[in-house]
Amino acid sequence: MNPLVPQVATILAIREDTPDVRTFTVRPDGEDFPPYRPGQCAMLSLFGVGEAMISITSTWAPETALEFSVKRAGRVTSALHQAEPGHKVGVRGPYGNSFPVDQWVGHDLLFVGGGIGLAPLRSVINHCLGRRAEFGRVDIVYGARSPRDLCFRQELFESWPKVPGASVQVTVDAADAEWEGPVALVPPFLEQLKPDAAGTFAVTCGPPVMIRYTLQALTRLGFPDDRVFTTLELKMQCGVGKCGRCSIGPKYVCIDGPVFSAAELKSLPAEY
Amino acid sequence: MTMNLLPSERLAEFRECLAAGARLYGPVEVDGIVLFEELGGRPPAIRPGNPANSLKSFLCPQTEAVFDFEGGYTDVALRVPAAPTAQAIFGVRPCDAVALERVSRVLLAEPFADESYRQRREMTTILTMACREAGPHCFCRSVGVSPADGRGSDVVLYPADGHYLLEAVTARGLSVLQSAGAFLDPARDEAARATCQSTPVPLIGAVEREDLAARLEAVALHPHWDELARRCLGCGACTFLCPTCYCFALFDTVRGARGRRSRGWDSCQFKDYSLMAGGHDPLPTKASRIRRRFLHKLSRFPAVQGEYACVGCGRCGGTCPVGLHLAGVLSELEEVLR
Repeated sequence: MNPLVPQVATILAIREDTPDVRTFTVRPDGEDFPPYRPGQCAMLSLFGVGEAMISITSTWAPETALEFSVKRAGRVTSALHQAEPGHKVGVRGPYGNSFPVDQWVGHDLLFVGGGIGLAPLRSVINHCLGRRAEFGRVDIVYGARSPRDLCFRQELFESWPKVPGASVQVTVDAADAEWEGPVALVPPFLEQLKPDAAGTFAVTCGPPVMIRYTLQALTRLGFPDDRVFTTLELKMQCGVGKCGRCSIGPKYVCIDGPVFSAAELKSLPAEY
Repeated sequence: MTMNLLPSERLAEFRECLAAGARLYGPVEVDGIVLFEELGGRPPAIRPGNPANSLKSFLCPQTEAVFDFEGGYTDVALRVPAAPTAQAIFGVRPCDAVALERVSRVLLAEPFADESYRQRREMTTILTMACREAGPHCFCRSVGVSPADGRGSDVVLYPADGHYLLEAVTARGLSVLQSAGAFLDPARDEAARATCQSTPVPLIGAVEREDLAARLEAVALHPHWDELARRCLGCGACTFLCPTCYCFALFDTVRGARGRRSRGWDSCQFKDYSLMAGGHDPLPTKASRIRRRFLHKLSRFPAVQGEYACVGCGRCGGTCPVGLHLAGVLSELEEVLR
């Protein structure tokens, strides 16, 4: 089996989340996609265009399709946004490590997302909510550039807030005429909320600059580096630790990551 | 370990025997440049030092098909290429064979072994010619490789006066020697091997240091990398010729309803190597890319694999259009550290 040869898969459905984010429901035509863990990624491709590493935003269950929330950014993702249900794509994976969910059992959880960074967090949030009794509080803090850039609205505003012991706080960088919620960047918004660091694991993902300032905010809030996790993305070609592209010091994001603790990140050179 | 003697005048017959069941490659002179090419009956050009290209031309070709596809938006069929056929490479220098062993550590690592490389590696016999003389850019001894190194080889030929001592390193090498038995003399010549083991190769103090990785990390943020970047053209020749560089890219090409996804060599020295859609680039400057190359080879690869991603073949030094050879760069950095 050549790991660079994808399974041919079909786009079953496409949901328009924001002006530049669409969620694709995809199922391989042949064998089922292997079981995957929250935080893992897959190489999604269009034949004739190319591949891109995308986090799997669905949570694995037998015989369910895969979901990928894709922001239109470059060549492959722009072509994906032109695709329609019924079109063929390539998919290979799952790749990378995953969030150490079992380590979090019995603890409170804080998820801090920005923009399309909620896509990998959604997988682990839904996984943890599926095992609700095993965790303490589940607090979700999320922000986007503007109200129309908020992803996963159904979950943000309807399903997650209804889960017992869960909370969702949503902010935007800039409001529009209808927005009545908070207007603030995620890191200062998070600091204002003053989440309790004692016994809590924090998980963050968003644009690189948001991750950087959120990690600093979490440190000021008293979260130790080994209880803070993030998930990184770098340019990838192979996804399987061979092509060299996504190395950070001696680590490859594709196989040693994408999930790193803040403690691990501090031991790596700042090349990400 | 099986050893045999091969009289020098029977070397051509030995090569013909190798060519019987496999495509036979070796160093040949083309327009004044020695290159590994299919020998096709030509006598190999065995010179001190290395041919311009490395063995990766034959084990991870510069471009190759990963698969072909055919169809339209709603119907696609994939076809993977045929398995590679047997090949033998004659006249390899020990450093190049050691480089294969280094590259294999990454490309064959499970659970995602590189299938194309694995198939080619299994179908390739490496016949190494130990060195009695160093080439003009060689520095193998400074990075822990010897002119008589057998790692990565199937058979090592140690040249002596009037004959070669042949040593089978692997089971495949042993079967080569058995099939060529008619030309061989079961005698030994330990002196032939010892001669190659003691071939003098210039030692480069800056490379040889045991604490090289730590010293490089210590200068990782030094402005001297910017000075190096002013001279570097970013051409990537060092990486394409390097036998231990293995980075590759994947790309699609289309003609009508048919297309191909290919892989091809890539270089960390190229501007778009790590540039992401959206504009983020963890290696945004030439200085950061040069630093990446040196730190990968001498600090970060060793941190994981326990050996340098450099075998001292000297190609980068002999080829760089502005003379930024590894040994020279390390000597400059030593000056900076002082």
